[in-house]
Amino acid sequence: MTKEPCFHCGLPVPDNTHFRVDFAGQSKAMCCPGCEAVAMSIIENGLASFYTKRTAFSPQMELVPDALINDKDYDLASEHSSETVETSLIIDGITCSACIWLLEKHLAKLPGVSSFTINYATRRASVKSDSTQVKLSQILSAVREVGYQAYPYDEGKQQEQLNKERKGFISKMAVALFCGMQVMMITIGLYLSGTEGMDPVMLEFLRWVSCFFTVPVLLFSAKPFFQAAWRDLKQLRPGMDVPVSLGILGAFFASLLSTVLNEGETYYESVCMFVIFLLLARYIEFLTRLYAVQSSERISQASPVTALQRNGKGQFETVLASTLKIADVVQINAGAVIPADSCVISGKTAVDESILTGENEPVAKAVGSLLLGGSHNIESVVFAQVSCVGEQSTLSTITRLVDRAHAEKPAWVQRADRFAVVFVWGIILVTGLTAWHGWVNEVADWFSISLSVLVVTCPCALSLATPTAYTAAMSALFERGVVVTQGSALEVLASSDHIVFDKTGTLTEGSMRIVACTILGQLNESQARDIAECLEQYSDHPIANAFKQKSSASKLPVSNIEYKNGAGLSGVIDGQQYYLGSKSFIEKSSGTTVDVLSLKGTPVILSNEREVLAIFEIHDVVRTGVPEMIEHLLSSGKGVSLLSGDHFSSVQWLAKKVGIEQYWSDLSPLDKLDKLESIQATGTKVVMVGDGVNDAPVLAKADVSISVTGASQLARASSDILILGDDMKNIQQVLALSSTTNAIIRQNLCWALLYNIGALPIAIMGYIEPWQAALGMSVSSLVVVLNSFRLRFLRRR
Amino acid sequence: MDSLYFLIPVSALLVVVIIYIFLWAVRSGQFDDLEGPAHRILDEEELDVTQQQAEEDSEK
Repeated sequence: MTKEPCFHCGLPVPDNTHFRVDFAGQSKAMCCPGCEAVAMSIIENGLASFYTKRTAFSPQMELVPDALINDKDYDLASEHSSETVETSLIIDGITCSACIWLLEKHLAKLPGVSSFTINYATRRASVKSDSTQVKLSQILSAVREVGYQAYPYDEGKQQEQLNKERKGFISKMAVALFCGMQVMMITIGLYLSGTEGMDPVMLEFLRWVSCFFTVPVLLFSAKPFFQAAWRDLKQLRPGMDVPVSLGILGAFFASLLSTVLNEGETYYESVCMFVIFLLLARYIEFLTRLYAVQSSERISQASPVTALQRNGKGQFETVLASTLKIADVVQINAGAVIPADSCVISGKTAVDESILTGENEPVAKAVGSLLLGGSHNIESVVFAQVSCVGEQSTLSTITRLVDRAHAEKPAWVQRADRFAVVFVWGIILVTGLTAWHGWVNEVADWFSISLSVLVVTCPCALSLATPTAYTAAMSALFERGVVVTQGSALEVLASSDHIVFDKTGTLTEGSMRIVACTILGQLNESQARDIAECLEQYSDHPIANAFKQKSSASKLPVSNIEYKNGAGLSGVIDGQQYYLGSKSFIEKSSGTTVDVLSLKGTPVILSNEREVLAIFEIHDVVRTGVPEMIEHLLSSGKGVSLLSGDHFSSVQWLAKKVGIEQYWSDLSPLDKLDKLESIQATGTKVVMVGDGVNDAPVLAKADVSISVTGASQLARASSDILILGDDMKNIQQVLALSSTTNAIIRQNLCWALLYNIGALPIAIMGYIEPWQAALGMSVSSLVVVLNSFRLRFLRRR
Repeated sequence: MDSLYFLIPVSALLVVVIIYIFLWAVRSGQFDDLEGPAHRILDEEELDVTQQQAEEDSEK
């Protein structure tokens, strides 16, 4: 019997599982409890016809433990005074139109939701709901129930601006097209019949009609070109809008003069054609930019910044950072973002302030030091009192900084622009010379020749060559779950020759489980676990999650918590000092030796000052696609190595399993940095793939940094590329696409230069009519844009 | 040929009207979702009975 694929997601059903769902009287096989739960809730809600409507399988669902979902944070963020609330959501996992049907039907049933509509094109939903009846977290969990992910997002100013821009483009193109059509119609008639046999009154009439239709094109459609050209001229840095505007205005006023005097040539059709094609090229460029913005937006708005605030009863609860008031006391875990400008009242730590100050060295903080909101706490837990909120606080300064960074042109755009400036001066010079030469030698159509020269040499294609390729590559990658935050990273990536991986959370899933517990001291197992769990509450290290999964009912108060970056932590419980962490950390702090070589997993050791109490063996699951990816990288001639802070035997075990030959274990963050620098010293370009707090400096140091799902905020902040999916084969895709992108950029530049240089002499010799020049220039830009667009449709590898 | 003196202004008028309508359509968001309505028309008939009832009630 051939095996039936999972009814929900279409993936093969593993052996020895029997998840089944009844659909239309038949029992269908399911691959995992996640898919089963989703399919059940779809069918139970009377939405079974989803399965007959859909044209593609749904993404596989994983059961997410409720404890890991922090939807409640969003409720805090969305407290409104009014009853009816409108919220925008980003929905993940939509594969076909039936998904949208399913979501709309399912959500409309939720009491309090008055409307739920999804935009097919953008995959975004807008919800109108009654805040007294339904909470945002309930809406989110309803979406999750049928197998999708939803994140609220704030339809920010930028998005509004882009929407306005898009509507502006469509309106301008429509006016240019409708009017241009009329002008072309008249002009083609004149071309075909010739002007000789025509009634002069009719000819004059037709010219005035053409003029009438060109005016709106000039005043409305071409306005952005004039505005940009004016801005450029004021700064004495002419971009490509200057020759464009000169061409349009020159052609129009020369035609107007001919019309008024009723003699000579008119170029109304050239004006219209020029504007139409230019707008088209700009609109396509705008669309690629729009995709790029929409993809980066997801990251920045996915989750609100929260803080652990002490309430009246002395307990800490999660609140929204923006609701903090002066003198509130907050707990800041290691690895977390500092929610507001505050003053340390207990504990000491080190803080990474590079986002604010650009300084990569961690800054030590003790009682009384000022913490800057938005910087990262990287060493140990501290308690702090909020000292500044609102407009003056550093956090709002950061938002402004981020906005500015978004608005600023990246280096490669600036490079292209600088090039264009030189080019534009050249064009104006050549056009001037052509005109002067024609005038002096009394060439009859000197004006139309110089107009052609001006238009045909416009460096639009040249300045579009690089940015369009980057934006197209970024949006193609985004659709595969990869977010590129720095376009130029792709360029470097293509020429990289060594890839360094972190182990925990990068090659492995980072979802740690305690598989064994060996008791060595006088404590029993549950006591040891309780102590370990309480200590790990204060750590954001991936290994700590193994202890956090079960929320222990008995919470012991911990004091004097100290966090040793990446190695372990210590604290006092019931007057007894405990240490929890890696082998080397324990050996240093308790002065005993521990034998862990026989263990396969990562050992986490609990000790007091004198003796080892317990060894927890923690196992981690290798991410999907890792061995294939490593094999692919090695076969394509790249160096691969593994740097880990874990102990030798577990690193060796993993390296063997995935096929990495070069690996180092027991490294501190500083050692990792040294190793990376020693590889870079030989002149190789290094890509670093990592996730944890301790990887942040290494990620920042590498030529290209990639962070993976579940990476800490600190790691995300310092990386160029974010991988959102779980499949590590995405790294392969990024590499493949980066070399294709480089190839496309080279093609674009070659084509643009070839066109501009080739067309110039022909135009100077007077073989090109102005409207043909307009067509040529626009087609060359379109070729570049469409060539870049190919990146979006490349086959998945 | 004299008819052109009448026909061309008429076409000009038509263009003005068409542009006006098109700009209205863009501004009122008719082009915001170009794929959705094509699918939505197929979904409508499968409204289940209770929901239909609810909609009728709300119309009253």
